[in-house]
Amino acid sequence: MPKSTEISRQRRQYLRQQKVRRVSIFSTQIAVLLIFFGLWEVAANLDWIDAFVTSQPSRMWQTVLNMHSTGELYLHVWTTVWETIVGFTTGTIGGLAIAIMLWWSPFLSRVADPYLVVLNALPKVALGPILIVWLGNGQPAIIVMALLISIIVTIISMLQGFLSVDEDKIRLTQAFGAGKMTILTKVILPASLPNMISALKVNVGLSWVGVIMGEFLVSQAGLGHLIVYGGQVFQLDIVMTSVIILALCAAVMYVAVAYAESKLLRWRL
Amino acid sequence: MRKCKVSLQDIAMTFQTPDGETQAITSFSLDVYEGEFVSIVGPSGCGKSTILNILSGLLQPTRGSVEVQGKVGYMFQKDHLFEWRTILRNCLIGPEIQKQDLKAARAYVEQLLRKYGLGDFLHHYPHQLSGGMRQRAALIRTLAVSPDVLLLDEPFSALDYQTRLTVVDEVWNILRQEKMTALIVTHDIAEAISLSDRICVLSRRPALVKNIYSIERTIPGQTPLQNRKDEHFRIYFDQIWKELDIHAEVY
Repeated sequence: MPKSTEISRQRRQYLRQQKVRRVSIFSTQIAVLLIFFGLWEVAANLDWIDAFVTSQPSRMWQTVLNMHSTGELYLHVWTTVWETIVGFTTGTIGGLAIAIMLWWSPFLSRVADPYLVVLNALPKVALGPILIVWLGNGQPAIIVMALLISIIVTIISMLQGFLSVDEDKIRLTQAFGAGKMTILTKVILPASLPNMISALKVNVGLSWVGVIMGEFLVSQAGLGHLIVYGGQVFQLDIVMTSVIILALCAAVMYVAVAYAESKLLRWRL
Repeated sequence: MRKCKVSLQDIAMTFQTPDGETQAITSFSLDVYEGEFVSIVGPSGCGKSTILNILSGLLQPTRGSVEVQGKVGYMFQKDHLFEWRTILRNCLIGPEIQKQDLKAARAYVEQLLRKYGLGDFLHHYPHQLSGGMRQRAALIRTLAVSPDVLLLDEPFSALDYQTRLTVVDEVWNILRQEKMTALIVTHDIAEAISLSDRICVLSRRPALVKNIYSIERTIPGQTPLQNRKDEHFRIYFDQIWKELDIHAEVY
């Protein structure tokens, strides 16, 4: 766009309106958060609710400070985040690799179809006890749980993306003499990039589900462990604190993926 | 006598599907000479595109012989520019796949893009260009591998009417300047008459050659748009229209 020093009055007015709108949306969002925690705190202090079962923001803050001074906080957060990252990465890479294999061989894809449907429908949590017996009650079982939850969805959605690439785009490269490998790298993969990113976004969420489920079943550390432990000893402060930290971690990871998306898909509108 | 660039002799094509056999082409023969523009017109679904696919080697005919002198370039109905590549890199996809010297190819493509009015858009993405510009870029992508014969499969039908008339002129102009031989598949009779030296009329499926017209111009060397005003235009149009028997489909 040509740079102009003179902006029209309407333009200035329009820009100001846009800015007011942005600011008011953001400040309302903040206000909702503050009112929620404020009410919670006041309600607990005035005994409208029982802070023993609901906890309250000031006690949660205290819990955070205590765990910070013992160093426990970082152990648990890091354990869970690490398990999620590993589960997420292996699930995504593994799913992508299998999807490529199935795209490469239509025969294999037809053979695998009913199995994928059944595995997709099966609640992966049901495999928990089997994983514990096979892999022991440690991190490997948790990571495999996260991986299982995300990998099947990844395979199905990626393969669908690969197969929905315009047939004429493939014919176009074939007319230039492209073989299967060239079609994969020059057409299928780049064309599926938006699809891959949306699979990543789903996978981030699913990996958290897998890790927390895994930690519920078996763990010595991690946020899921803290939540279950806090529930068992009726320390709702620990439970609530862990849930909120978990929400923050999940949000950060999601934002990271969304940032990667905006960097990778600059060619889109 | 001019050199024969494409020679199709007695081509037949049958497709096998789970539901049975479909005969797309019973017998098709056509010679295209150097520098010539030949159109194939026929009712939709009559196997026109199948002929181009056979010519470009994407399909093997069930019977008959195919001879093409030199390389074949293929242009599709839609431009199919890759949204994730800039115009320049889109045009380099052919040389890239054929592992040609990319530096030389790039110089050639840049020169073509500049010559045909896309010089300012080398590093733009396809969605930033108009439909006509995209089609021009698609043509340059095809020309980048220096083909000897160009196959065009309804190359203008995705464009709106206004754009179409100008793009036909542009493409015609480029093809003339680059001294291309072209085989164009279309269902638009007027476009075929305005653009071609010869028109091959096909029957409904399974396709047979009904007739081949040599188009004579009162004033030779005019652009397709000017050719539409030619006094013979109407006559050819009526003849081919009757030959195609399109009105029969109404009953």
